[in-house]
Amino acid sequence: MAASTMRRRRPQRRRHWWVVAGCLALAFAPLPGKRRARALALELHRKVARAVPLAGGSAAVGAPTERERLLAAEVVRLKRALLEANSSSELVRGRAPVELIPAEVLPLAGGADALHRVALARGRRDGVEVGLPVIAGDSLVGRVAEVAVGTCEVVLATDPSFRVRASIARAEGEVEGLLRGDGSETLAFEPVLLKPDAPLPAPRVGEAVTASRASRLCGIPAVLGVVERVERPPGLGLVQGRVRPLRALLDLERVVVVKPKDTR
Amino acid sequence: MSGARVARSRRRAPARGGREADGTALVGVLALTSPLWLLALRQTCGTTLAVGGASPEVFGLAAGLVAWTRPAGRAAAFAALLGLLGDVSNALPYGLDAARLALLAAAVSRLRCALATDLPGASAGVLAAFLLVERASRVLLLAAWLPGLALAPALAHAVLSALYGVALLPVGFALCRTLGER
Repeated sequence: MAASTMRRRRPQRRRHWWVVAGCLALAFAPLPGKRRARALALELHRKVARAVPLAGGSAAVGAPTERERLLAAEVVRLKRALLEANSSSELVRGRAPVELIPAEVLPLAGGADALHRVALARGRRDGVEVGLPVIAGDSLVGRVAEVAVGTCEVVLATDPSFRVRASIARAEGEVEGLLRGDGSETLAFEPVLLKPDAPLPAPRVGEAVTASRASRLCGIPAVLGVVERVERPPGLGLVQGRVRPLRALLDLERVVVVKPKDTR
Repeated sequence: MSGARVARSRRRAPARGGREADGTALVGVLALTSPLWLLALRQTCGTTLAVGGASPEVFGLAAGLVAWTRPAGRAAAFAALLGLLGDVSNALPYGLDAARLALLAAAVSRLRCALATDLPGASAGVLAAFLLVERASRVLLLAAWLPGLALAPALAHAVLSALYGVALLPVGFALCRTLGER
């Protein structure tokens, strides 16, 4: 009797292993619907964020007096968005023809995660593509990493997977380098040597770092941030500048996706 | 008992049963839709409760509470569902984070069976440790996949987020008790 009970209980004890094994199989097996499943989850995030006003959506529900207050706040917000869109237009004026796609930012995990990523309420149907730069005002804030039908995921500049060629403008010549995020609040700028016989240039505190003209990610000279301090990391012979982004990237509300017109 | 009183109590009995059934049905509906409620709560906490750049991870907290009150299989399934729902960024292979969360939830559930659960503070202690391990393991998993991740600030941020989650444990326990009575 006891042995038969044990035999009957054993499969229940192992049930959680099946769940874990199923998840691992999903992660590593080349299943065709994986991207679609993730895109569905991203769409669900967007819909929930839209439905809950406090979660970053724009739905405004309240009493009539509250409504007036919310409308006034909405007017201020839209004016700010217009200003940002105008400065984005100024940034791209006179350059290669581009299309500006304004988008509302939806939070993903907020401040609970080491990844610095957000979702935008724009997707494939709006013309957004993977790899397009995302700017807020005149500042580059990230790039599009994944696109679903009505939403997309943006890797912010401070995310560990973000890399961009950047430069510091100086009278004696530009300092080219690689700017990368590492999950902290600042970015690391590592200068590169363009001429083998020249000394390695070091960034100086207070200098502005812009996206390089040679960058394939962002062909417009968007500002990325300002050098906050200069340090020499242990084990690395290079001098590195810590760059603070111009904007608080995790508090963004509206951004603009820049799309070259010839890619369509 | 007089005949009239017996008749009254007989009349009342189905009504009480109906109310209980309504309550159980409501809890059932809440349980079925809980991932969506938790997703809304997670996004709200991320924007409104952030202190010093850190906010509590609602999915981890919910997975821990369910693991403490339910068998390992169910706890792992619930945690895996939350993991799949929350893993929308393409930094990790889809499903890997769900496997991590399911494994940790199953471990907590097995630990509950092994421990004397009537010890004062045992549940809070185990769940606090779970939240810390959950956040730290997430950072380590990300560091394995993204070599550029600065480990020290990410771990500090994870500890802050876990402590924030620990501060919310009494609310979670109260909610569990309320739903568990049904």
